Amino acid sequence: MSPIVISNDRMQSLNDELSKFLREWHEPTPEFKFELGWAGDYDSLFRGRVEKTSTDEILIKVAKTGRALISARGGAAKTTIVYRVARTLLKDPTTFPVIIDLKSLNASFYKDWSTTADEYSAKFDLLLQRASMPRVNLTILDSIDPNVFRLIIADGLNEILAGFAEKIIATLNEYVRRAPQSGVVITDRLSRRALPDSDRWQLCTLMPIPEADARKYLIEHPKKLETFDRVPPRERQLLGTPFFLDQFLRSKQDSSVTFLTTSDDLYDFFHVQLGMKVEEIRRAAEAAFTVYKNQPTRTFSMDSYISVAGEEITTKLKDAGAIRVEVKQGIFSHHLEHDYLASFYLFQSKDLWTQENLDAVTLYASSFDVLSMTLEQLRVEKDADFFIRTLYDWNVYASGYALAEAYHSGRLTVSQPMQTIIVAMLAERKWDFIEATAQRAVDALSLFPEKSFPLLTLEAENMDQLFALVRGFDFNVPEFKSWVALFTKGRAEHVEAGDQEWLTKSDSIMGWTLANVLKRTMLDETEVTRIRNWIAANKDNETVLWRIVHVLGAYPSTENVKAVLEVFHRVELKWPRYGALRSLIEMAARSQNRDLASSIFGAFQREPEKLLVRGLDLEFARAIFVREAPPYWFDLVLPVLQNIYMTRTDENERVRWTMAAQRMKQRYAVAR
Amino acid sequence: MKRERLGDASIALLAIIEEEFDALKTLGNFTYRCPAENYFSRSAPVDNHYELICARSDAWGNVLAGQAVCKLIEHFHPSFIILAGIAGGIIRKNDRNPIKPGDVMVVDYIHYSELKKLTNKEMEHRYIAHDHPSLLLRGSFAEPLKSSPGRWLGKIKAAPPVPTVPTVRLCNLVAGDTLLGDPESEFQQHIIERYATAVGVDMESFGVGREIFTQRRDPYYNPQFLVIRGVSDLVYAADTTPPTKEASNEDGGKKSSEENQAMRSAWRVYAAEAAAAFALTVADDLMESLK
Repeated sequence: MSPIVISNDRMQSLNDELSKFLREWHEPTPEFKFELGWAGDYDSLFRGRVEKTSTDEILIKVAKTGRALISARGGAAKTTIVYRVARTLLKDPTTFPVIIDLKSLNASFYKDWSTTADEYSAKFDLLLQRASMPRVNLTILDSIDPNVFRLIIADGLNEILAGFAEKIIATLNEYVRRAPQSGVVITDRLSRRALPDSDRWQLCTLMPIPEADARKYLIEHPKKLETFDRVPPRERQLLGTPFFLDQFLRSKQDSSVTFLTTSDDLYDFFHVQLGMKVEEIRRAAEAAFTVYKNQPTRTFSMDSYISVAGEEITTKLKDAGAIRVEVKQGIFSHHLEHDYLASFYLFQSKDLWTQENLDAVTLYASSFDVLSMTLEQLRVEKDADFFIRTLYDWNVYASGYALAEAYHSGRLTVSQPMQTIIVAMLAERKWDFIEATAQRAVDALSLFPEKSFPLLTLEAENMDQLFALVRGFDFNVPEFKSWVALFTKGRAEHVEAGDQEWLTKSDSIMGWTLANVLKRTMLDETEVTRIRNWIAANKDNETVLWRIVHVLGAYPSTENVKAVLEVFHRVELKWPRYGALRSLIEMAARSQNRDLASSIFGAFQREPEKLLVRGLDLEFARAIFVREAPPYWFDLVLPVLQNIYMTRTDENERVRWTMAAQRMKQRYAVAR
Repeated sequence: MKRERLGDASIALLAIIEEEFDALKTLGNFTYRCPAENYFSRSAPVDNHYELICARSDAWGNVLAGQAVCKLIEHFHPSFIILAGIAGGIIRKNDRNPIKPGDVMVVDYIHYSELKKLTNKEMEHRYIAHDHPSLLLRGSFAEPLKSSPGRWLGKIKAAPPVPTVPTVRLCNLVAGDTLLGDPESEFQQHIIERYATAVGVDMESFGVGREIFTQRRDPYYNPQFLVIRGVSDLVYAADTTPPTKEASNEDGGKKSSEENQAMRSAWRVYAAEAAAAFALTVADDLMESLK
């Protein structure tokens, strides 16, 4: 008896389901022609070192290694590309396309994920059952004729909760590894991901629409073309993004230059195209923000939305297709529309710029578009400076991303001194003792356009060259001058005792700059002791405590290890513990004293539960890869990795920790 | 649309350490390097089909062995996989036919010792599903070969540290992620005692069995595997009498951790070749039967 194969009729009905879904999907018009840029690794991708091809290459690449990842900015038409691929394949009997709409995943999915068996097929089955189109499960996929290629298209990796992206990648990777006639295409924002079997993943980005092509599309709209030609090239860049070119073409306005920015373009969409009054947009925006706050996912409860926006406004959005509804759950047709509305609400009040709100609107630092659009809408320099500073305090990479996006969109109200400060502080991380931190800084800086100051900082080979770049700015702003004087202190210089007090003050820029400077300049033993003693006086001040332990990381000693361990083990505040973990690892690696280093890793072993807190274990896995390590580094770290491994029952998790041990061995065991 | 593979293979032989890989390549005459990865075959493929290929895991351990199998399957979709390499042999009290270095173990059952919970100073073992070596490969190919030593012994080129005539044992094996090299270790003694029927210990068989188990959900693919282990060192149950210094010249058995390592170093190449010689003969018989 031959194995069960699903019938042709069933196959046809599944294809019909997908076909219907794709017919209802609105494709930007006219149908833009896209190009892809392929890169061998993320470094090349972020630096734009890519090989251009047509979009047909996706299937060729997937057939080769089974995995492709499209990484591009919001609005770059990632969804359009993969939906077009799916539509083409519907006519091909040798392929069965399945779209997994990741942005449609809601809170119940995340809850169920955590209780589903720790095995990839169960996780993949859950993913299919909740978000696939056509709606299939693993049994159906496995029962398809083995000669038919199953193409899984997972759209919107950046639209899921932070921390889940790598799990989804691992799950899809495992499926493709074990299903020979299968492949996966994932769409994601420009963000470096840890890819299992990295040599099997083909990376690409979407190239912007060339100006000549944009001009061709605009030719039937002479006034729009005139506008396009009138604005400086930098401001024209936005229309290289298909989402915005589409909006521009559809807009009823054609002579205004102001909507050549992301947020203005979206304002035009709600105000002019949907005919919403400013007050209506304000209410829609508050509702968009509220539903993020209630549940940080792209889908939301329609009841919640209506309770803030009201029936009339909600109906307007639904009728215009901006909100789609399925079983009382709503979702915006493009996440940029949701993010724009949330930013419209957010930009209006500084009181809303809290860490909690920033977590919610970015899905816990997973998607930063709402931040860049908030920044764009701040027209007063002082406010923009305050916002970017708030972002810096919350997540340093978010401030870099928001600045980079604002650079691209052409409107940047942040003052030049503040831009310089944020970028320089990000650039300093290029030489961070922990390699992953250095890598993230380079990635964030790579997002800026060519010839910009941030890209110049990437070229700097050492801190002295960075200092020279910073000193090249001569802004007549006293605060900036003070900051430059502090920031450019070299290794042999000394920070006066009075200035060291900045570490405990609320000014985040000076406080963090000082923390970094104190790590790279020379403190004597009395000064280190004084700083260490500040721990007791600031035990409830999360930021100050974090800065103190950050500084101590550069000064390994028995007393410092004891003090930082105390913070790691006994303090309940999240960020000081995070900082303490990194500093402990740094002290263990910097110190040439094996006993001291062993005492640190011994402490991790004695109270393993402190390390196993979600997030801290992952930071541990990142932080153990340091620039300079003693010859016994691998022997010190391995038992802790083994300990964590033993606590994991999920196979993917076990693989992750084994791989971490393997990479440690390759990186550090050779030094023995 | 069709997913490209590096090729198709009927049988894949998997090694873990370098000496095992060298033994398979040398004794099996695997001189053709397949493009793109560290795979070898006897000749270039015909219509992209290889009869036999051999591969190596990145390093020790069940997880990595499983990953190597997963890669092999993704790249070649072999119907049969043979894990061939070295392992430890267990000496127990009153063992009438104790295993000795250079002997070959054909594994019929794999215990996995690593999944456990430490509670109140006790160790409670947990269980995880996995495949065991194929009855077809063991019953129809390995067992018959056991009684024809002349067909495989002659393939071994390395000289043993002390003269020996390898014999073949069908036996249970216990797989873990801990190298059992310290006779004084309580954990090692616990494992030996807990799995009282096991004759061998290794660190990869479970990974292979688990991966095969995981792969077996497609109704069109039914991979089968076999574990062949050459004994490179001995571990002793707590109640055994350590061999005397004089005796150690004969069976290589000494009790300290260093001596265990010394024995493994001395026997590693010979044991790897013994396993390779047996596994290659099984593979060739199997290949012949498929024609």
